[in-house]
Amino acid sequence: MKVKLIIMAVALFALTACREEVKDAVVVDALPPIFPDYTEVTIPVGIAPLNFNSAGESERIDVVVKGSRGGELHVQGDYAKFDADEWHRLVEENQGGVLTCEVCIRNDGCWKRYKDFSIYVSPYELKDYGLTYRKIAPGYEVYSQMGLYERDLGSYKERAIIENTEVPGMCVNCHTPNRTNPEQFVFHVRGAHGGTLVQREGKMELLQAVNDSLRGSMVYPYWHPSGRYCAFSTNQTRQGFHVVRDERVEVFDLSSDVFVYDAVKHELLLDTLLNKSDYSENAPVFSPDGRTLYYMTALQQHYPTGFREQKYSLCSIGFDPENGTFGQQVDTLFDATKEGKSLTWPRPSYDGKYIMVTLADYGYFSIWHKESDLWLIDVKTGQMSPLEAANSDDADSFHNWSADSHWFVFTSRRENGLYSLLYLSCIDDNGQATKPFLLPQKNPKAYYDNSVYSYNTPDFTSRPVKLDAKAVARAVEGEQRVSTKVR
Amino acid sequence: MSSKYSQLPVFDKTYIGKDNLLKAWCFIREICFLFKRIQRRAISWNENFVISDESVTLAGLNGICMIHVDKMRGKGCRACLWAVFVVAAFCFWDWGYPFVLAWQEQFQLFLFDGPYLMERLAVPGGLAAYVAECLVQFYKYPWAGAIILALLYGAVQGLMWKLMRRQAVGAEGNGTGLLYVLSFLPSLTLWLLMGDVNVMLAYTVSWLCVLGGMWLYPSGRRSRWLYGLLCIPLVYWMAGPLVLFLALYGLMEEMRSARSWGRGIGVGIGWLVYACLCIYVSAWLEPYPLRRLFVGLYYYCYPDILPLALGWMVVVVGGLLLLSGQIERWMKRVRKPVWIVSGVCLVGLIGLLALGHRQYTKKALELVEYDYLVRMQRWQDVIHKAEQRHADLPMSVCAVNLALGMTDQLGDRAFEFFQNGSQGLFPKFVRDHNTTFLPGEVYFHLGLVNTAQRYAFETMEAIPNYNKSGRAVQRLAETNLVNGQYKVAEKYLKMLEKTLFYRKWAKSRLEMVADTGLIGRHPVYGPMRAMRLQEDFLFSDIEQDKICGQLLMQNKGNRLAMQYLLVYPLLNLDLNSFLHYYSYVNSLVDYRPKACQEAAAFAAAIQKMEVPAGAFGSVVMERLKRFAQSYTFAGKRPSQDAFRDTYWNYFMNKKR
Repeated sequence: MKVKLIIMAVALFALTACREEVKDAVVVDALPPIFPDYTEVTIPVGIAPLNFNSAGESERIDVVVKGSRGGELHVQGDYAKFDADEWHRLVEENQGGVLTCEVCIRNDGCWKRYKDFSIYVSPYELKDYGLTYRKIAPGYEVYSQMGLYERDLGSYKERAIIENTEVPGMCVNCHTPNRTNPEQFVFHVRGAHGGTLVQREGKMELLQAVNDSLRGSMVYPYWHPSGRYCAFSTNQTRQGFHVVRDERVEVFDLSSDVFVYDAVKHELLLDTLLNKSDYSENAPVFSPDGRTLYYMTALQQHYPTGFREQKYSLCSIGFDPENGTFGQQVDTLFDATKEGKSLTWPRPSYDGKYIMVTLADYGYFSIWHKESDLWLIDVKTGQMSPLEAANSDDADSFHNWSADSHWFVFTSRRENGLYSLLYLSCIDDNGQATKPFLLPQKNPKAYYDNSVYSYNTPDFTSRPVKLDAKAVARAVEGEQRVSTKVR
Repeated sequence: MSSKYSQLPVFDKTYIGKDNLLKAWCFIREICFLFKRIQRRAISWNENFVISDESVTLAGLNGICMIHVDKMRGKGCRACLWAVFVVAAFCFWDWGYPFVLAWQEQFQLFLFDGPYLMERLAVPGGLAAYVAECLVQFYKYPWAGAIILALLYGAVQGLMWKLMRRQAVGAEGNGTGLLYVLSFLPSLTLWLLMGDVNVMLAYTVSWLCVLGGMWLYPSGRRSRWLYGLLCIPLVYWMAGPLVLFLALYGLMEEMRSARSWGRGIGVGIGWLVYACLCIYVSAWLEPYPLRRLFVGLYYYCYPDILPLALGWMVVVVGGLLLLSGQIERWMKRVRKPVWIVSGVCLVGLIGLLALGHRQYTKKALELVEYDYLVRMQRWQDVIHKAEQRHADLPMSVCAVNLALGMTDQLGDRAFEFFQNGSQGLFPKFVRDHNTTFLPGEVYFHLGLVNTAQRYAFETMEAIPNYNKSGRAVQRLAETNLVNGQYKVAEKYLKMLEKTLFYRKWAKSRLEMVADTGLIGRHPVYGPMRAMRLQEDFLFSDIEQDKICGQLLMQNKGNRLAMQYLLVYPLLNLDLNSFLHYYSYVNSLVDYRPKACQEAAAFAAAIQKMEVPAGAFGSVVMERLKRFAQSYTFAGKRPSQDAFRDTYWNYFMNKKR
């Protein structure tokens, strides 16, 4: 007992000895320069500690976090590093309340005390386990090491679902679960051993990369809520490269169409309304009730000269899941020719209230468009409004909803204009978004400075993804593919 | 020393004093003298050919030397031979092939930080790769790289000698001269293998690890068990699948020392199975297929490939260890061992030169050298090299044209050199790290900043072993600075700040991020900002002449763009476009280089096209007439020498 007490006393002494008293701090009438910018953000209960660094040079940072409903954390060090258990307790205790952060930064031996800022704890819980995404360098045509990853939102734990080191030359993309359900998902494999991997009902199938009846491979998937169907586009995708300073890449299609894949019969369901010759239909998604298929469409322009004229509208068509047939009428929800903007990546919220989209000046591959912003369409009224609190001056693009439709994740290039990172934001009952926060990391500055990857196609996952990467690699390298046929 | 050797140059420990270069030089001269005398068979040899400490004479070239010895025990002689070998290796790399070193250095970015180390340590063979990459960063200065390689070869030889001696006569005994000479073979094999620029230094470092592991192999039975159990996984994690060789050595040792062959084979095979098991288990922990783990992640630049040539090391090391005892016994029975040694040296030397010539004169190395010269902006050296020997690889042609352009000679001298169409100005983009740096340099110097940036990024992403590239990151930082993308530039510069040799450069550029006015005042970045295109369009790799035209319109002083604009249609035999561009260029500046005059004269006289007045001179026209006559009378094959440097010759050859 004595020994234990001595150890505890020594540990306590060591802890307090490490912490320097903030003395004679100069008061600065500005928010603290911290990275990531967590000032005035809204977070869910259960999120990993929002550790942060001083954005500029600093010797030490001292942070006190006080909950409006009780609790306090005090950390000091090279960067603000919170104890995970204490953090989770504090956040949980203050659900619906506010955490006030007092930040002092020491530089050149002098402490500066900045204005306090708030972190709002949302009343809406984020029940999903984590995120899935692809990490790849923001390159052009060639890719190096990359893969699909999963991240626990409650901690900093990241795990590879599959990496391209398993099969040299392989590229994996568009990991798409069905409404955050990790037991049902699809992703594409590109390269010499291409195919589309479909996992449903505990069975993995590798579909042939190209069906002769389609003019390309299967691209941009989205599951039907029943899990039987998956909508895809098929695209003749090309890349162009801008020559002026603020532009880099233009990803465009020479043509594209939309179809639905019947996973039970391995059939492709086509319709002339979704395969118009002069138009490019793209990025189809199902409504939460599975009776409507949304997609975007544009009058196909001539490339490489007409790229600024390619503007996508949002349309919808009925879908009968019982028979796998389409409606006879196409409705236009957003008319690009009228609005002068191009709409892309429609994502209906799972509660059926909204469709979140990205608007850009032209084209559809919005991550390369600095001007792209997130907008919300109210399904009932058809009204569109920008998610001002979530948007930035740089590209804000690909997004997905949490299972309860109160949170969304999206990619943004706001940090440096090139490397897209993941941000999470909350939507309240009135459709207002909160200021998003960057996906937390243990030492964010070190992590993001060292990272040479962009985050792509993020989505929520309600549980960890179970995938035998070795088995997938063997299947990919094998010759066996499930063939599909057009119904 | 016996009297018959009294006239020979004598070397012992004291001959070369510490740091006494003069003495060293005298010694080398004496070696050469001896070498000549040996050739003249002016000396006779002692029967007792064993390296001696007391009285030694030797000559060496590329590690294979003639050795003359008086008596036993020759540490000084061995040290001398070792030194000659190391110096030869240094000279070879520093004087002969510095560009190979620079080439390897540019395809990695060694960062002094924890995550980089952990990333390497997380995979089998990662420690050797980490050490190798740490060493390769010194290749930025080829003399430093040459020292490192020379010492590594020396270390491999040293370990090999210890192992061979232990095999032959026990750790305390003295091996014969032949044994010592043969112990250089693995180092020479590694040296030869490095003629393939894709062989990574990690292969050499891994061999060192494995040879070290073999040297530490204990003699006691119990300690062997413990050693095997612990060291095989450890060496596997350090050096990768070459641990199989350590297991093989275990098999050899067990067979040698076990009371019965059966027991020895059983234990030895057990070690092999154990090593295989380690590799197999690691396949479950690592995101790599089993076959990749068996061929090693860091031995060769391309994943999934392990050239059979790398197997020569296994054959050489294994063979020497197996035979060293036999060789020793045999040498002791031979009456005149010196002839054996001389014969081996001679055969080795001839073989080495033949193999070395094959390995180090490959076409691929031509590209490597041109790339190095372009990177260093040694334009005159590029041209000089092409003058010595025609550059006919697409990338070499590209390098020569760029060098001509940078020295304002493209319009005059383009057709003195081999040309392969407009691909010689702008090689087609290929998803291969070997061939993307050079075109990127062309775009950079032209002022196509975005395209230069793209090529740098693509080069880096195309590196097959997933490494990053210091040179590419440097270019990315530069292009982002020029384009005003300061935050991205800062990200790259902070990466470079963690390196040993790019740090200073990165710091100077970070000052530009802090004070962006410095960019405009920079001698390269400032003008480049002015050269950039202002009107956006999507880059087209089939209309690069038009892009050059845009560049020239944007900045009338862009001489490189002007030369490329004129030569591009000439290379494509498009005289219409050429005349159009020629007249536009001459509306800006009086520019009538030889090739352009020849083309204009050709267009006017042969093609009967309308050509602006003064587009060519009378001398050119006279020469064209002679060419036409020669062409007509010589059966459409004009004298190569007389008109080889003319556009007409290129045109007619291409037309044919």
